[in-house]
Amino acid sequence: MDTSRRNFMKVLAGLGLSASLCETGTALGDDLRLPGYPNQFGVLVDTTVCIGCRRCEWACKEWNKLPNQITLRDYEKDQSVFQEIRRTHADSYTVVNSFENPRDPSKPIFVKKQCMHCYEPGCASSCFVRAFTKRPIGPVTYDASLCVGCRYCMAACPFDIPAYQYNNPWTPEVTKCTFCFDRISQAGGIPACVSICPVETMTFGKRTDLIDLAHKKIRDNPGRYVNRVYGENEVGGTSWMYLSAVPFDRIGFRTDLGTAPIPTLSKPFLSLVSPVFIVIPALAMGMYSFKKRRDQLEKDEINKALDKKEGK
Amino acid sequence: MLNILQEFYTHTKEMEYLVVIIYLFVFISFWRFLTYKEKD
Amino acid sequence: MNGAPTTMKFDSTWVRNNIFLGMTFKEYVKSNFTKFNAVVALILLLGIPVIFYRLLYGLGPSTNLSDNNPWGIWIGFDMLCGVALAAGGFVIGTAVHIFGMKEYGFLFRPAVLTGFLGYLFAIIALTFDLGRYYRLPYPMFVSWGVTSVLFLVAWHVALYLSCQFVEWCPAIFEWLNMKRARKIFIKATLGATIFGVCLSMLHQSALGSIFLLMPEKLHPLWYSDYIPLWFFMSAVAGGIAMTIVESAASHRIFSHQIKVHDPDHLNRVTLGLGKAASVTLFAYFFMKVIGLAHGNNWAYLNTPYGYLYLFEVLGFVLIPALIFMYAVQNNLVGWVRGCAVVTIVGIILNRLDHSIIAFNWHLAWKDRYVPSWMEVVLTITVITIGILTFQWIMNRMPILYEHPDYEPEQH
Repeated sequence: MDTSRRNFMKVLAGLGLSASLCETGTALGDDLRLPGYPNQFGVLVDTTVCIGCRRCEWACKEWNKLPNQITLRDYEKDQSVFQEIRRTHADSYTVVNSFENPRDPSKPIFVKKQCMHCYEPGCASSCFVRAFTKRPIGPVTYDASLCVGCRYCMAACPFDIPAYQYNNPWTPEVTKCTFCFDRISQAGGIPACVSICPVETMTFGKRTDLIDLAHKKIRDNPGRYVNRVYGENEVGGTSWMYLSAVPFDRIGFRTDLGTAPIPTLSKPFLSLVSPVFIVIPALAMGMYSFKKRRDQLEKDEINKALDKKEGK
Repeated sequence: MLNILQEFYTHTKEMEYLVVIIYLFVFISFWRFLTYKEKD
Repeated sequence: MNGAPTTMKFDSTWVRNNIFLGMTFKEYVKSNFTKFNAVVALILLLGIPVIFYRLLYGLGPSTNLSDNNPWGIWIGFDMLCGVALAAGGFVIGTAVHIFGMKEYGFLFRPAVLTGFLGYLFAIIALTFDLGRYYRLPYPMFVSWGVTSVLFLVAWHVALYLSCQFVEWCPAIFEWLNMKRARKIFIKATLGATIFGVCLSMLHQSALGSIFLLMPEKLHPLWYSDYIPLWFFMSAVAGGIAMTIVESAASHRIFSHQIKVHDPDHLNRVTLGLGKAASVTLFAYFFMKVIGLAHGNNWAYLNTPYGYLYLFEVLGFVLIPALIFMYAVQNNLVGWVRGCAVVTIVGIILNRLDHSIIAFNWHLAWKDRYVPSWMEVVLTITVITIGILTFQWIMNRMPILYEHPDYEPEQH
């Protein structure tokens, strides 16, 4: 039933949506050709350039006014944080982790982690009050005025990014990078972390251009990069993409996520919901009338037997 | 205009549930009509 | 019970008879000093402060939940196991009203009551787990996230709660002596049952399908496209087992209520339920094996998680199915009841496997979730309050017996 449904959607897509299809930036989602947002922003992070100064963490906390802020110099001085692999937390939308470099043990690899702003966000498809929306210019934004706090988005995110304000008893919110939605909405605006990076690890621009730039970088520097742009195809494509000198699973990325977007995983079940509501009442009423007839026959049987007994 | 799966599934699911609600209301009267027998 | 006065008057004699079981208030209070209530009082003494502590200080201090483990036993146990084991109302309701098995008719009201209270207290436990519990109605009235499976769970559990309330209303109106209202709800029982079947099939499987979105977090032995079917079949088995245990317990505890005491009728019915449970578990076992083949997870069986999986599937699905079969053939009612308890433990283990034990299996042990004592105490408190409500209702409303002034339900 699932494949027939998919063919039906293809025909639908072919008829209705092909007019708006543009050749670049098509969503790598379901093999249903949805155009996706053609000119959305993205960021290309080159992990071979990052020096681990963590100014981006400072800038992110500064711009978003997150708690537990420390001075810029403390960020650089405090090397102890690199002992363990940190994850995004209620008070930090982005973290820089250090990974041991197999090629050159003296120079560790620093990797900045934040929300990847997926093309087909799993958090958005899991939210039952639609608090997450994928914006046409790229960011996946969160609306705290709707959030009930069920935390399904934290479980559904394949990159484990959303965090929760567990210590806020009355108005806890889900916290994750907003891609500086307010900044990049204005013309020429760029995210706070990208603007402060001293070594231009991150390049901000149109996602389609960044994909070409990434592949060009790989071609122009043979042997410097692994020939893969992480985020180009992962879970249907993400706005934030990474280049790395070593295989991505060495620097804290999950390489077993596949390319199918997260929302398609719950589609098979969701497509069963309406049929149950249509089929079961009809079946049940059928069974019920079958039972009533059977009771009726039984009663007639008894009455006939009684009449016969009295008749004798 | 439907751009990404999230919008496509939201739109199609809303349509489906609309049809289901109509069906459930119509089904009751349909069943009564179907099983209606002249009381002789 | 006094006669059936046509007009309803809530005077003191009515209160005395219906609320205080025919005793004055002082006698009623004195009658509550039993050993059972002492234990309950102890639990509540510890539990109520924990509930307030959670509500005042939020989830952080009162639970071991973290960013890696957003869900704990309030979802894993109360919601998943609570709703699965409350499927008795659905199973018996279908058998009695749609398939017309009149012999199980007397089980219908206790099963619906157990189901209704099971759902009610699963939702109460869920509200403690929600960060903003005061926004519980949001998915219903404020904003619809129709792509989410949890949207289905929210809607269907709420609708099914009202369905079960409709199915249970006749007992309330008999208690309140409101004849006209009772007649309306008796006619509505069939519609409520059928609508309840649709809802139950969906939210029992939807509770499992929540995990479909996270293949990278759930162990492959437990993650499968068949999760919706697994959860539904195990919920049916859980409902039947729960009905067996619940009917046995209530017929012993509230035996004074049953006028015509007919133990072999109960035994015959228990054996019938045992047969149904055996078939369900047997089919569920093979559905699990198909899931194993479908996901090609044979290699995982020879790993520690594999042994846990075998322990769960062989020990709590196949073996109970065979024990049920053996017990039903040899009319061993005691074995059927014992095996039903084992099945219930199996369902609980299965749900905990999905939500906690095999969840985040790739993380290091230090990042894994272990419930804090407050979460356990709160769960026990919610269950205790549930049992108290069940007892309160059973003592007052005609659940186990037909109300003398009304002819039995027939339709």
